[in-house]
Amino acid sequence: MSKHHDKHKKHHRSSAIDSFIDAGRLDAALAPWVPDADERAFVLRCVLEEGPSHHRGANFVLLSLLVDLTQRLGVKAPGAGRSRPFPMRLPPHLEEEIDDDEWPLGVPERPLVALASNDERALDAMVDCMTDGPPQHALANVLMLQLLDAMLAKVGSAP
Amino acid sequence: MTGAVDLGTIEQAFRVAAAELGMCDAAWRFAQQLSTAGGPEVVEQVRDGLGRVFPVLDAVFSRHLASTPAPSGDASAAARACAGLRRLVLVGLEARWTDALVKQLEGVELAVLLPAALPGDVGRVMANLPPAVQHVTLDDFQRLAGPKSGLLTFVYGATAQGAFVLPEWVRAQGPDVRAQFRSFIGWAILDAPPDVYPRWLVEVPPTAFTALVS
Repeated sequence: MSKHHDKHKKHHRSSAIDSFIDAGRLDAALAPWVPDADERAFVLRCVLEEGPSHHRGANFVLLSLLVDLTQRLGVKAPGAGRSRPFPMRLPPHLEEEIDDDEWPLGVPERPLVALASNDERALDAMVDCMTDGPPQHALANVLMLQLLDAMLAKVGSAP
Repeated sequence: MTGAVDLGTIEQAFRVAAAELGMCDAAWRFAQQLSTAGGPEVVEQVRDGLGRVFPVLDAVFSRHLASTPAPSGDASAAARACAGLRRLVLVGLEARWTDALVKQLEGVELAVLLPAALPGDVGRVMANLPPAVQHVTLDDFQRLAGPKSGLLTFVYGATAQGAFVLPEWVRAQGPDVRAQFRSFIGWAILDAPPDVYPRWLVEVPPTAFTALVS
């Protein structure tokens, strides 16, 4: 058996990934961040059920650990800082015709402002990085940023 | 109705009706009309002659022959699945079900994406729907996308393994669109898949729907 084959044997089947993804575990915990149950189901479907299985699995692991951390810190609500709108990924030729084009959660600025050392250009670039790309990536990025923002607000420190 | 059934004429008429009303609605209307005109023997004769070509007709005529009452087009379950939506794209058309649903979705921006396989007169089809219902195509239906938007299609029978839908549904709910619309609703208007090969239709996994109602 070749080394190449051995390397691929290390990958687990998609069913093994699907078996540990539990949207219910995240649903209630994320209610303060996306209060509308239908909108939350939409967001969770995109990060846990759409796209390649390794992304879905990674999203679940990281979001679950961050949720666990928020609970240990007693964080029960989003940070109170300013958020930027988070546009959905829509067909470019139709963007002008769509008015309701934002995800039901914003991009918190506060943790990024500190990280960008108040450099507006760097801040814009960071927001762009967090929100660009496939929706399941961008949504998971922003959800994680929301949780991190709330925890940073709780512990009272900036990165 | 007397003498031999002219299957060619009935097929031609059914194609026109199915294009403008939907295959299932047209089939129920034809079953009732043929039954009134010639009794169950004629319904059976037409089913045997055209059922392989039109599997939804085959399924509906079989139900009619088994004395299953024609569906009323009760839209309450579908309307519940649409709760909270601001925009809805109907992929496909089935007149009695569409009419019933439109009445229950006041305030929802509605559009219909008509099937291509049995093309009808778009102007006449749209004239039969409330003026607020827009006509969209695969090129532009995503202008109704958003976090409170949904796609709904008619399901011509479903099992735990598969649901039978129009091919437009497969084109419309690709991986890009699944992150642009909140709800993907299947509305089962046949209680089981057709018994004959389901040409015109495509089998998709039921898990593709965020809600599958009947």
